[in-house]
Amino acid sequence: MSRESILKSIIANKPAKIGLPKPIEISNNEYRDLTEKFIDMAKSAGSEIVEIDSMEKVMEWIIRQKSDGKVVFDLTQESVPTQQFLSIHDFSNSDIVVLRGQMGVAENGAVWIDEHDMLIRKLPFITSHLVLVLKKNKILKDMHQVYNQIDLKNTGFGVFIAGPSKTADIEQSLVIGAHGPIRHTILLLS
Amino acid sequence: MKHSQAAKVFLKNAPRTQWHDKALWFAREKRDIQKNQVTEWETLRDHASQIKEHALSNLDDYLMEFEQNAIGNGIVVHWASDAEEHNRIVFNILQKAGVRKLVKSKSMLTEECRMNPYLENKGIEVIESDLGERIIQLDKQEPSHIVMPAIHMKKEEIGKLFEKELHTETGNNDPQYLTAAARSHLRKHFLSAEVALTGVNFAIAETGGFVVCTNEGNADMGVHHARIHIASMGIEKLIPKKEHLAVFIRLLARSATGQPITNYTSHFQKPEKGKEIHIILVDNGRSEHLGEEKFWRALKCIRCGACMNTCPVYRRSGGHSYGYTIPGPIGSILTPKIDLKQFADLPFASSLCGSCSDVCPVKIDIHEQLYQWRQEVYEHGHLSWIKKTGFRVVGKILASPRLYGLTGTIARFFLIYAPGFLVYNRMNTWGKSRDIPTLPRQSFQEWYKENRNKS
Amino acid sequence: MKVGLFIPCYIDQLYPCVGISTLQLLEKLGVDVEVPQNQTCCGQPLANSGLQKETIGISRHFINLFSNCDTIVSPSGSCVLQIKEHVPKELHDEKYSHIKNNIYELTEFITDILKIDELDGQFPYRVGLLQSCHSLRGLRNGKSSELAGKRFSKSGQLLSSLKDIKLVDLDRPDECCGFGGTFSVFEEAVSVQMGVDKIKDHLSHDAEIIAGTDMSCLMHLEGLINRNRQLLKVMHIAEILNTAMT
Ligand code: SF4
Repeated sequence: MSRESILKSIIANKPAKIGLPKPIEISNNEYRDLTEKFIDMAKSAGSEIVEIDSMEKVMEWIIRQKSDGKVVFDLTQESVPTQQFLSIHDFSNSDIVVLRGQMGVAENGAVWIDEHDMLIRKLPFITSHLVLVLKKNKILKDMHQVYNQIDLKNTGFGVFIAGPSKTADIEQSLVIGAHGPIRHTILLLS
Repeated sequence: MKHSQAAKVFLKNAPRTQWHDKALWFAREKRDIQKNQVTEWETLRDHASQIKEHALSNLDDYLMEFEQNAIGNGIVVHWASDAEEHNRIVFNILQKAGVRKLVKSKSMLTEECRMNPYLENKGIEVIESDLGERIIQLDKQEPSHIVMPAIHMKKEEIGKLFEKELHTETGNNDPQYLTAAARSHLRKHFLSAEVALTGVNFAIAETGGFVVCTNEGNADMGVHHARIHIASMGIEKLIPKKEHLAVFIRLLARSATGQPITNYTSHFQKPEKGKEIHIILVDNGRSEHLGEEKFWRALKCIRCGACMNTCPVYRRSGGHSYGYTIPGPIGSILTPKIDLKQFADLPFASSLCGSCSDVCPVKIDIHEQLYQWRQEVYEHGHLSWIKKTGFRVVGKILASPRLYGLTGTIARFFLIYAPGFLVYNRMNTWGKSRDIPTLPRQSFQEWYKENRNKS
Repeated sequence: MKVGLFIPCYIDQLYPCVGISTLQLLEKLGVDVEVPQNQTCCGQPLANSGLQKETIGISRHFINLFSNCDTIVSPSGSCVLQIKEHVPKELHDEKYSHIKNNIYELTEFITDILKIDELDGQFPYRVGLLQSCHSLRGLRNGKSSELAGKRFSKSGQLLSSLKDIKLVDLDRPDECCGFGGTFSVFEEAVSVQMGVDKIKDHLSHDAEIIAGTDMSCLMHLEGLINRNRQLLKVMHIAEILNTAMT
């Protein structure tokens, strides 16, 4: 069996045991204002930021964006009445998908969402406009802090999203909207 | 073709070389801006290096821990000793599912395994979904960079290719336009994908899950539409704990493309309801590489490509000049392990400037390994020029002050025997584009005897 | 303190003036310099070509010659690095570790051992600094641009202390010049292109002189400059400091 032979070969060849380093120590007061840093970083990743002060206003904002397209919400975690679910086949036509963001990362402008925040996994990727609703007090400084909060064992899938999908594979010129969303909005809720 | 010759051909087109050099240097500059914004950058590199060394020195335990947790998560775990076995496993999964098409995202491992030709031979349609990889695939080329596979191509060439393959407008080379064309072309494939394959950036023993990083979202587009997700992973990709991800994710994109994080950093733990995830743990020479005292640390590599962007030789010779899937400095220390004779020239395709080692996020001593591989090449008798030249004699002369002094008009001796000039004398290589120094009247030692010798 | 001066073979044979400048400079700084006779080479040309094994004789000769010096100084970062890192294992004894721990490249000797950061001299030229890769990333006589943290350079520090000197900012201050020993002939095309680009960087910033810590790099650049009849001069840092201090 390959399993056994690979393990045997590793045991025969591996170098002498090397210890793990002590957990990294990170200064906590690097950024003057976490929200400010997060907004800066998110914008430079191509995200649009809208600061909003109540859940009602979030709804109003979305309805204003709606134009002719279809909107899919999954803010169930926020116990907001689910507005309109489409059948799974229709997701590819949805113009706007609105999801709850669990945590924001100030150092890179990314937002963590996991399976509990999306109806199905393809949702945040298939839409052309992804909207994430994130509470300001859920912004953490860096990846170390965020990973401390993330419980991977309790989810099937989770993802950091930083801005609309992009590519620079043609002569390194940045193009927004490679395969996933072309627009990415973060509604920052205070 | 030997690297030096391929490089010569590449350099013939001067404007293009300059453009290539600048494009990659741009990536290095973006990386520098990022590292300057992270106060603990060097600490992160130290940690990343130590975590990897720890993981590699306990790899058997971590693999078993990973396997157990992955199975607990409902992931099917396969083991592949070599490329052939890996490819066979992929094919079997496709066959069992009755599927003839594989939508895949970028994976250097599948390139290493030459998986695409293998599957195509068996009648499987393979669709590369990363834009750069798709370009390369449509043009029947090999990637020239591990992060930016089509970095050697100009937009005019891509425009022409797309005109032929995707029926885009004649003469429209706008990257925006071309990307949009690729987007709609690939979307069809995503929506109809039944089996999708991705690489693995990191697998975590503690959680039995793995992480895939992309900017385009193509990995996610593929696997979330498909019924079956196959993830191919070299066994060295394993890290012990979730908390270690923070260290590596912070380093990876900053080093690779100068972004603080990739657009999508996807964590796969369990298959979606009604679907399957298969992970293939591939050895293909890695476990044996672990036993190379001077070289095992090359396995720390997280495939960020920074050593390519910074390498003054890579930038001026292009990825294809290395003749292997993984080019540049890291390629030049991986290939000799695969076939010392075939790749004997690659450890010499470097000025040993050491920029690669300083840029490497996991602190691989790349240039020292290049140096050590040179010793191996010599000791195994693969230095072809050595027999033809008096190189060994130089060692004897320089070891003996008597011989060194004896060579009379010593400067001449130098021009004949000293290494830089050795080949010059035979083939005039030095002097092709460079003048030789004007010879002084006397050597320093002669001057010293004349002017200072107190005895 | 007995200071032994090591003048590498290519300086001895091709650029004796650099050896003389080094000697004179050290004497001006009040160092009692000894030049052990019958010096040859550090062995690097062979070692870097894969023939480290064949350098046992050269290295043994070097160790015997310098082992009774308290400190060894050399105007070549590259040769110093060779002695520190690539002397064959067979020769690793007490004598060797004494040498390994007490050998210095010229500018680091001045800043770290003599503890001199500023020199009294004048050099009214526009100068670009070429700190050789072996001196920069090997000996760490400066911080390379790849690393995070405050930049510094021991040779740059000394140069900038001279009156009227203008150290020009280069676009790629520590990109390799392309010499690389036998690399310069085995990978001739790439080596030449690297040199050409290095020169271009200097010219585009109106440098008049390329100052180097290693004569081998400068020999390569000088060969290109002369062949292409460009208006640029190369000088070893020892020559500059020695000239400036008269
Ligand atoms: S060797 Fe280091 S720099 Fe090069 S690709 Fe691997 S991790 Fe990146």
